[in-house]
Amino acid sequence: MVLLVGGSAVLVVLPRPFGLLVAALRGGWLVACVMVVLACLGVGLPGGVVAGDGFFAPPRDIALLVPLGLVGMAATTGRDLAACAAGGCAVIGGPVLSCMGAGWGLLALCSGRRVGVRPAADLVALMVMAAVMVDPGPVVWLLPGLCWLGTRGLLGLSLSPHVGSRVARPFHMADIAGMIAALALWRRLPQAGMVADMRWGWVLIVAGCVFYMAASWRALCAGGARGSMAGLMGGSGALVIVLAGLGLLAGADDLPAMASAASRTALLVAATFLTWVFVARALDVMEREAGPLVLLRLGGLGVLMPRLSALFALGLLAESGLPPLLGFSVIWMLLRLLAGMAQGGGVVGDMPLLAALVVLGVGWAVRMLALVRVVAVVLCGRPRTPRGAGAADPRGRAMIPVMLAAVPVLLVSVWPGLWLGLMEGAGHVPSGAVRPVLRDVALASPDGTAVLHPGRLCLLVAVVGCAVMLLRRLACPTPARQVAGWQQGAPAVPPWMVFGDPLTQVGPGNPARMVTDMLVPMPVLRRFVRVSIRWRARAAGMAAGVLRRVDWLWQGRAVPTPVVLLLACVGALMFIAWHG
Amino acid sequence: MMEPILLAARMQAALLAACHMALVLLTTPLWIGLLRWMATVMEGERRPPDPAAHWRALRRAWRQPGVRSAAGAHVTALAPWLALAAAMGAAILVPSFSLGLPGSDLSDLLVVGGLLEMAFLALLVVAFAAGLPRPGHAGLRVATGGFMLQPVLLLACAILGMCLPDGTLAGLVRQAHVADMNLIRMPLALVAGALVLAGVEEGNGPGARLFSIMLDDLAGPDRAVAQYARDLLAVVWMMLARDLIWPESIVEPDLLAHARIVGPLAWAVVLWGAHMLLACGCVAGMRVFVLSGPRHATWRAGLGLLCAIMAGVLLFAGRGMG
Repeated sequence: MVLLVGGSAVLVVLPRPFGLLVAALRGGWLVACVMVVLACLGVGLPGGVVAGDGFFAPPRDIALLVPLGLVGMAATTGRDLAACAAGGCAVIGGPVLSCMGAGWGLLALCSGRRVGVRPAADLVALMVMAAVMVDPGPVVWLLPGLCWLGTRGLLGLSLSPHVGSRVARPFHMADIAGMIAALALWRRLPQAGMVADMRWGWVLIVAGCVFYMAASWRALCAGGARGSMAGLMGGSGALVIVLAGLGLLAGADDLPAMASAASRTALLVAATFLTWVFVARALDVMEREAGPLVLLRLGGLGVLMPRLSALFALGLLAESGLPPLLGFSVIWMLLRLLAGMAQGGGVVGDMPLLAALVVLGVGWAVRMLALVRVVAVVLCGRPRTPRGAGAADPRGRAMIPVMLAAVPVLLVSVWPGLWLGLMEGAGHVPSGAVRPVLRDVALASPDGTAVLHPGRLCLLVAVVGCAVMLLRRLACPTPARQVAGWQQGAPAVPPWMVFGDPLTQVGPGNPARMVTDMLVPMPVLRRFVRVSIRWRARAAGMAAGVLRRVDWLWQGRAVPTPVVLLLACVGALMFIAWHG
Repeated sequence: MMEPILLAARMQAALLAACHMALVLLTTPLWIGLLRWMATVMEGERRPPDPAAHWRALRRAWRQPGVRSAAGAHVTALAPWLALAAAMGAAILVPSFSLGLPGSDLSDLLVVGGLLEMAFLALLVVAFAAGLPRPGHAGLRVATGGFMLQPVLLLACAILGMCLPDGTLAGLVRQAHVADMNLIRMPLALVAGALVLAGVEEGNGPGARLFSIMLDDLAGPDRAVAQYARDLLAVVWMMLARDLIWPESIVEPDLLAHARIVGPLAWAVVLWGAHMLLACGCVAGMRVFVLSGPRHATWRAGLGLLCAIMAGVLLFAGRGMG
């Protein structure tokens, strides 16, 4: 691990990428991944595992190195490898080292121009968090807030709907490593002596649902495929927050089954990061073949590169939350957890739950629309640029890494118990004994009454699909004739405007506008925008006037002591009301 | 001793599944034809169409020679059949007249809703595949029209999960046979209404027009299969709503009680037909009297979400008082 971190640091410092070092680091991640898998299976390693004496994490927390190792194996650039090394520090380290690793990850994810400016607050929060975790004093209840602040850059949590290049980061392999680092930090919280708090739990759940919706909206509005994927991945990051909130709530209510189910669901979310690994590889190949992944210029890749597009569509299906792949298992567990949190306290007591479900559902719907948009624009249709028309599937051995990267996702989709057993196995089993993962074929709800068999669901879909394909083969022996598309008498659309002009015609390039049209009539929306602009200008003018007067009042004056005392009392009362 | 009983149980399950699928698949065009006939009668048309006309139109489309747009032909060749497969997978899981089908422990509401959503998305892909503006635009309008399905589905699953221990349709039917359902009947009816509102877009003029625009560049068996998959989608949503409202009318055949198994099954089939007729009438009435007008998509989404939230509020209020 030290070698990997050192090599990544050297690679970052080097002025140009050094191919041999990159290959060596990827091989190192492979070795680390295999060793962690062996440790999780209970196989005794020569030398054993370093005991966690405060500097390193306890051995049962290192299981997240498995997905991180897979990311490191698939990484190609120095930035990705640096983010992987940072994630490794965050996973294996104790409180101080993990916070340092998360900070390094933040710096590795930000582009050069903004280093040290954008994530300053996050870095300060991480520093304070490390101090609080080392010495849990009276401010230990602040830990979830600090962790939220510190990991918001890694998880892509933002309420902003803007998708411009200055505010949103396009999706790369490094983001996956950052997300695993953030997940490791969130999983570290319960051991840091933090008292489970019901208010923090509800705040995190509702905030996570709102973050999910905002990330889905960014995915719907993004102008490039990488921006869209960044939005979708931000949705996975928001689910981490929701699950942390559910864990806190379960701890506060003293429901160990619920807390364990929340932890298992977080591990399933970690498995969905494996989907992003092969989606990132597929995007790299597409960018190499078809040029920059701008949605206005892409099209027709489903026909030009059928094998890669099928893999990409599989990844999108796994992320969409539809059966039978992994995303569906996550949604199912999340829904069971949320339904189990009903307090039985009447309408008022359970209103936050209802609101969280509605917001989560709307976020899911927007996410689905974003996926439909990506499929419609990127995979369907015709190529729009000559560069795009020249795209083709990678031949021979170049396709193998992408296909190999898809295998773990399919395996976990069919058999989530295997993954959960592997992740929870570290430190639980005595050395030499193999954990019986075979018994965990199904996923169970927290109270154990509802059971989902993802394998049987996959089998059902496969059997029905095979039957229908057999029917198609028997019923339609002659292939259909292929003709040019019917244009309704209109002149032929030029090849660079497949869905019509995106600026004047509402087409699949602009579904966000269609959703707003459906929710609010256009005249009302226009009036609202006009009024809001007017009010904003008025409010800004009033604020400027007040500031001017305050400046004038402030000259040579001091605040009266009674006012200071009153403000201090109000602050203390708010603090006491929050704290207990 | 256990072996023959197990074998007999499996054979019975396979027989019941075959009967169920045959019943659903053969009557699907009939229900859709009846639904359109009812909607036309309610709109005051002097000459309502023949209910069997839809079946004939499907047969005619199937017999035509296959033609598809050259752009995206690989996708168009597969997507309608994928939609059909997903809709059939959902139809297996929703019981019509009897329990004891092979995949009854998978009949979670989220699984059924997810499979139906997948069929819906596959039909949309048919519209997008050629990359032409008109079908693509129509497909996106249909997609935004079904926008509220996910929140309604999540709320419905949460509500069903709170009412029942295991949250499956089979569990609901079993509980209906042994317990009093009147306490939760109103929330479940509201949930059923919300699901039908969000899922079924059959029966109004603009929906049918949009769908025919989506399939502009398709003829032959692929077109017939896409139309049939859409009909099956609507019928499965209505079956699901019917199971939520009247779960008692589904029988659970007991293998050990040798006599009198055919009578209750026949009565259950008759009840299913009557309930589906009622569901068609409700859907047609809702389309004609409530959701007509230029902003029908907004009304549909808003009413669906309102019904689901009201179901949750009613359930929580009842629990709080209890």
